[in-house]
Amino acid sequence: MKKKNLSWLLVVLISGINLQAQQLVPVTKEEQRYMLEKIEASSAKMNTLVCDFEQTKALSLLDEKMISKGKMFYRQDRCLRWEYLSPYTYTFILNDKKILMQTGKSRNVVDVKSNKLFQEAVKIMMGSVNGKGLMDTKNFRATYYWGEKAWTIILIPLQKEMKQIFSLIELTLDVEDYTVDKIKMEEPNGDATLIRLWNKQFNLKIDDEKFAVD
Amino acid sequence: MMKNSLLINAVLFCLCLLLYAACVATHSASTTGNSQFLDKGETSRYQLLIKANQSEITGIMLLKYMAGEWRGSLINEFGVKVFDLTATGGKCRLQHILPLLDKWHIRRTIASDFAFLLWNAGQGTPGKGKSIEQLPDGAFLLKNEKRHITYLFQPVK
Repeated sequence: MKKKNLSWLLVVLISGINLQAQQLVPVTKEEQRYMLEKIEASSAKMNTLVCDFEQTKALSLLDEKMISKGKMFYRQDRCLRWEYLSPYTYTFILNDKKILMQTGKSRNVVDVKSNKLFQEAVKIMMGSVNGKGLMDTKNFRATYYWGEKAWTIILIPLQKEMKQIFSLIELTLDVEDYTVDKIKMEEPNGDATLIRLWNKQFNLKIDDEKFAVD
Repeated sequence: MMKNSLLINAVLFCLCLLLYAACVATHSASTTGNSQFLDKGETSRYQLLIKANQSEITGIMLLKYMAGEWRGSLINEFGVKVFDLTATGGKCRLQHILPLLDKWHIRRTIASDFAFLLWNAGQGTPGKGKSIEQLPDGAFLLKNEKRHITYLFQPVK
């Protein structure tokens, strides 16, 4: 009886694995080109994006999850406001060549060019939001997967500095508007961060004040 | 002469016993891991601002007492790991440190400051140029006067 139960469990587990494998189907080069065209077209139409986000950080050492929530404002002219509202407040504003980081008593304005890591971080953030990070073949090796309701793109960092921080970045795109729904960042130490974007509103007018850094 | 040497040996033996007992006492006091600033029962979450000379690091610090040791992770606001730490027996060790900060003197200073916070401060043991100041709303400030570093811990609610 025990043996039978175990074999059933094995069948269930294996079929589960197959199901998982079926959900992520690698695409052909032609299909990849099609996906990129769709993403590019959607990105070209998107002048602004306002949405909510939830960030879940899994910490293996503590066996804990840290969940933070906030609001994101994006404007195509290299403007991004990433604002954490709970359980802590922190604001990151990118306005072309300048970055403002503000938390409690600390307020810092830096030049993007002053630090290579900042340049890369900005590239990932902007690239993840507008999908252009997928075309960055110098810094990432991208693998594309089909899905009925979502597309998945896995980016493997190629540069040494980025490899030390992330082992992979997984983007999940909504197939209805071809914009990013989820960003998963895995670290070499096994921890992962998942950012989910929702309540997306496209092409709303955003006040310049939202992107003010000085 | 023989009597003298026996006496000296006996005194030395007693001294050794006393020293051993003192060491054991110190060790067991440290291994209780009572920090007056942190709750051992649950995970403490702080918004942390580290200031060193003209540099600043901000992030979220999580500290938890589990399996007989203190464990902690500092992540930046975007979720990127800055470092993990484990502290046991009065000593602290950093792991998975962000490559940008992975220098032996930085590792040693941060580890020593956290060892003071997690172990020694709770025992009322004075640190070498280190102090902790209790601030309103559960916040506290850890100072390393020698290295001119301050750590401002503000509870995340």
